[in-house]
Amino acid sequence: MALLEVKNLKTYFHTRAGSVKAVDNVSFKLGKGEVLGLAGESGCGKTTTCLSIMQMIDFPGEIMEGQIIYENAFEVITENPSKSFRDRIFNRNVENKKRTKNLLEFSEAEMRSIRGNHISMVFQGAMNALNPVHRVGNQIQEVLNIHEPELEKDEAWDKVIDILETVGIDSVRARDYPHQLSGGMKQRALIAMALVNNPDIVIADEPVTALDVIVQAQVLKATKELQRKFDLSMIMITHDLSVIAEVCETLAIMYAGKLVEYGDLRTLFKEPFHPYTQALINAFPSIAGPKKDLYDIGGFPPDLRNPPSGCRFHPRCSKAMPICSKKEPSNTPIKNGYVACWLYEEEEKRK
Amino acid sequence: MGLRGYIAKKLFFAAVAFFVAITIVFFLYHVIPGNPANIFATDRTVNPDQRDALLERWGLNEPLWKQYGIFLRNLFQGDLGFSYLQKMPVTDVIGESLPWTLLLLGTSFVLNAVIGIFLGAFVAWRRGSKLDTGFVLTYNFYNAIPLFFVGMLFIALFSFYVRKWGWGFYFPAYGAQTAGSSEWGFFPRLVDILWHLALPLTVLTIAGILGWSWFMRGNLINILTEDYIKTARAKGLNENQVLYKHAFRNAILPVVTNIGMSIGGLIGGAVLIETVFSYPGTGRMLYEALIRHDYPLVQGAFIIISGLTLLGLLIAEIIYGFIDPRIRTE
Amino acid sequence: MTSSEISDYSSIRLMRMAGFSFLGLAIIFVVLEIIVVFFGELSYLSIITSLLLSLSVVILVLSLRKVALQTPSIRRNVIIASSWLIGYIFLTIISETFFVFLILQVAAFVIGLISMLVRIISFTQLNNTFKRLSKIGYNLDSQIFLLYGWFAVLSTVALIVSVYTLNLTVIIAVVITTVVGEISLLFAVGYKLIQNSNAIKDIFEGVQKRFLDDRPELEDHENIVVEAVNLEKLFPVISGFFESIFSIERIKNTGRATAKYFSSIFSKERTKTIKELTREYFGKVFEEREKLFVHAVDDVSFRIHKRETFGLVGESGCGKSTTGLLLLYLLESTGGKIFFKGLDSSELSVRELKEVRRYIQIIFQNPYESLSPRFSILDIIAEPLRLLNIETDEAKIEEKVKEELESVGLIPAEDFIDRFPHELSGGQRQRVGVARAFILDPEFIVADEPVSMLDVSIRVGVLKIMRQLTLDRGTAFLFITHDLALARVMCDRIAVMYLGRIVEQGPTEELIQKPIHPYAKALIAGVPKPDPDAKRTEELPIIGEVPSGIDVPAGCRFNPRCPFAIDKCKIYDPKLEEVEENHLVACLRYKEINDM
Repeated sequence: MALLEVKNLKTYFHTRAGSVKAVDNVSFKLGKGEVLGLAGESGCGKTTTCLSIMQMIDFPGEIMEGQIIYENAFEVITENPSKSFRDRIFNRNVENKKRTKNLLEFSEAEMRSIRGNHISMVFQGAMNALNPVHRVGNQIQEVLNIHEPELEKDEAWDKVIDILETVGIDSVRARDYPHQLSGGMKQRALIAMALVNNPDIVIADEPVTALDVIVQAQVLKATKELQRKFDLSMIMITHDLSVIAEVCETLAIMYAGKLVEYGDLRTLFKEPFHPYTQALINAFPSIAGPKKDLYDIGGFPPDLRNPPSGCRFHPRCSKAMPICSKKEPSNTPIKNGYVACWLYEEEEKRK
Repeated sequence: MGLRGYIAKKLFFAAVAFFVAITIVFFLYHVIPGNPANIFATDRTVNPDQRDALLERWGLNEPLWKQYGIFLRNLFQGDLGFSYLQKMPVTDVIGESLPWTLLLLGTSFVLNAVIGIFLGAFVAWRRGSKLDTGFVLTYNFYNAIPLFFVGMLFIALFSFYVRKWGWGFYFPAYGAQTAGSSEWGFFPRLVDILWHLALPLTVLTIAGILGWSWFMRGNLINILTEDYIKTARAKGLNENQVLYKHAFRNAILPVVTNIGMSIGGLIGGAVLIETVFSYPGTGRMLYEALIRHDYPLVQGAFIIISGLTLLGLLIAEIIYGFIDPRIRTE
Repeated sequence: MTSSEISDYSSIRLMRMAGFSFLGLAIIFVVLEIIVVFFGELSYLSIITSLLLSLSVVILVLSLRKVALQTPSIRRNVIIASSWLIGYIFLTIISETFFVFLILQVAAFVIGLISMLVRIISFTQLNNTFKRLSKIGYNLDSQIFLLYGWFAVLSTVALIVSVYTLNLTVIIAVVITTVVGEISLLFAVGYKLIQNSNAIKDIFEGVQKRFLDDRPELEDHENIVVEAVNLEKLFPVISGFFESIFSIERIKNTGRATAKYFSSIFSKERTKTIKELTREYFGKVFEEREKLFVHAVDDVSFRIHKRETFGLVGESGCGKSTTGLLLLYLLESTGGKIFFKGLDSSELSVRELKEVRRYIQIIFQNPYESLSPRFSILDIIAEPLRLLNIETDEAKIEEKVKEELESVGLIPAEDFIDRFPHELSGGQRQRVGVARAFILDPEFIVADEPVSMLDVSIRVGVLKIMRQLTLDRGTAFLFITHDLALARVMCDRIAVMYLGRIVEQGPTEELIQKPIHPYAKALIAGVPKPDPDAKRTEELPIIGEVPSGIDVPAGCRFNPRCPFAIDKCKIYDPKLEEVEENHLVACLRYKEINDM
């Protein structure tokens, strides 16, 4: 059973030059304890997808349609009957048991009790993801203060120390300010912040980019151990396929706002279906095994304000057919997943 | 180095800067034409006994370096010199007009800073909304008009036309209190003072609030694009918590410095506004002293202004050190 | 190389102009003095003369700036000299203006005195600049500046003294001496400058010749394009003055000493005096401030051959980028030597360095910031051609740019030359950067993380183009990266750096398949592999993070993190040793480790 299911999500950014279809008809599932890798080039919409799940899309972005089904959604509603005045006015049927599990229908106050509590997010720590003027420990404790206000201060602090030690930071560092920590430690602190309240789902946005190779390996290892320990469901957003290969079980490839291929990691790495996935995997330099010739995809990613007609990859695709530029491919089921490509849709039809 | 070292460093710098400032003021005063000794020697209105006493007290017959020593000694005794225009000590002259300026500018300053910062934050948070657009337009419009003109407009409207139209209520056009009000009781007097204060205070405060909130708005808009704001939201904080706990403290840092720098300006006064409203503040006093070559008064005022500016900056920097941990270690 | 390729003579021209303007100034001085003598007091004339003097000095500084632009120490000196000069000019004008008004004459007098002091400082600085220039090949001995500066001060003092004597004969005598001295010195300065500009011209042409003559011989020099020998770059750490002054230990120690001092007043026991205490306190501060260095690059040697791509790999802060900047002559090394085609950079003069630079190009990391947004693609790529006057015919320039664009895969070139950087994607921009670097047919290219800002699908294209161009044109290529996998694609040989040292160096495949140094091993094990079955080595052999470059560990720099470190490693600093052919390792225990 899927813990989180994203169905036909569409998020557009309204600019003067037209709507940027940053996320267009994206669907995927995330099971309990599953680690999903969301890969793609910059600007392909992978971060926007995850911010849409958290409903943290800023103006001028807007979630146009779709569903985000969260299995434990009812917990939130029963957990949090006290609501702000405004929410009470706009959502009169709050206590109504008939409410859906669709997060997009949740009020802002309910989403708040989901963020950091049920679904939490890890940002890139090398950037400014920690507030420079607060102590690291206090920033982590803040999560507990919001979601478990009944917790005593001392208990909360103990929990903070606990989680810091779990992610591999010395407890004395809790009183440090972010600028006193190294890049690797900042990233670990962010992971601790995401884990401190035992969330169901952790979304990690480029968690190890900009870290040095050895530190990167250390952080990834810690992440993997923690994921196993807490049986977390994770979505790992990265442009680096090798990071995904290391940590994830399922792989979703995005291209120009579309999910082009989704399925089991091992299968996809061995025999990728979509030409883009094939090219991407072949374009990745590896250090293991014999030296292989790298594949150059050629061309450049499209402008999302007026994307190419039909399949968005067809101008760069080596296997493009006439139909590719005319009609958009639908999702064709493959082993443990699906692919959006005319190559396989035609095959399917012939069967 | 920590907070203690940081404060020690700032104290040291402030002390050095103050010393340099008063030295410059002293020598400037002696370099400009018509030095004090000459003035005392030639001014007939100064009575001879007083002149001799002053010459001795300030060592005006001594060489320059000795005068400097005397000047420093007097300064530490709180003696800033003798205004030969007003025929009384500089400290008294300043002491007479300072309360009025502090009343006008101090009130306006506190209102400006507090309301301005929060209004700025409020507007920045709703960036792009109608409220924000309105704010930007108002700011630009009000800033396009010279302040003294606004003052004159206010006088015309609320003090002249109001009476012409026969409305029951108007504001006085000049002064800080009605003549002879010192014999009234406490409350009538207070009301009188506030009544006189209303117009200049409004003119100054509107401009000030707009300025401060514009500054705050710019800072906050920059801060809101930072990654830690996203982190804070992802934690499940509500918008107010994100704004006041995470964004506000970072955005207020430059504002603190600015507040510190403005404290010195308080004594300098708002010359234009005080002139327009004939308000008996230090700004007007200083202006008169300047055009009538009353150098001791100018010198005294400069020393006080530079001292207060430095004090304000020092306080701002110490507060800065408390708010921003990065500053302490740099 | 034809004579049209010789770079601008503008600095020589400027220098000569400065000289002539000094000469002209002297003549004007004579004329003005005659006018003053015959027509009485004309104070405005002195303003004009001071303005003229400033103008000639400005021209002089401009010419120096041109000459000295490339050497940081000289540049710094010129900046100091010119800022003092600006102060001097400013003060002179003020004082001269004040003299016109009778009221302000005291102020004018004081300011004039100060301006004289500033003048001597500024002229001393100018003299220093000339001294430094003469150190690197320009024989520009010009004590005349110093003389001129001192003369100004002395004459002013003499004038003042003479005025106080109230003896007309003395005053006239001093005035005449001053005027004659000033005029003759101005003549001397002007003459010297013109002479100097001739000297520069001679040297300049000599450089051209030397470089041209040397090149054919060097072709045989084992194909080595760039050689770094024991390269060293230390950045001094200026710890905050107040950090040192207010350090708790120092305050404590001094407190104790002071207490002792005061207690000694009663016991009459001899202790340090207050003066000694203060000197000790502050003396130590300066001592400690100068002791700290960041060892960015420390004893690094390698060679890059023609047609070869050499990779520098390491974590951030290991000194790989600094090495690149040193090889580009953008930083001055604090030790060691760089040979470019056999020419020792430390022996080259500024002019020669400028010539050498033409053959060394850089590809930047960030394609979004390295291209000027107001230049069209044509202008960006053609800029080096135009700057160095290599091609003056616009049609030919366009032809060449188009060729270059096509060679980096921006086809058709016509579509691109008129566009601006913001109309291109990141990959296209980086290709423009590559074209710009290759258009001068350089001998050597430094690329610092050229693809790290690009997406994976675009990376390969850019890498392939760089590789192809390097091979086609026989360029030596230094590829700096943190990503070993990328280095594997690009490089023929790789050097792994750690804390400013090369720890292992060898042919790419050999180093990646069979690393010997424990750090290289860890680095290779740490690289993630795009293959779900090839999991990263579960147990990472090393722990912790790179220590700071300020207090470098004693002995082998890697010993605190090395799993194989023994006592020996904490004492002896290993040197690079040849383990196999072309494969160098700096490790004391490599044999034992590899036998394990």
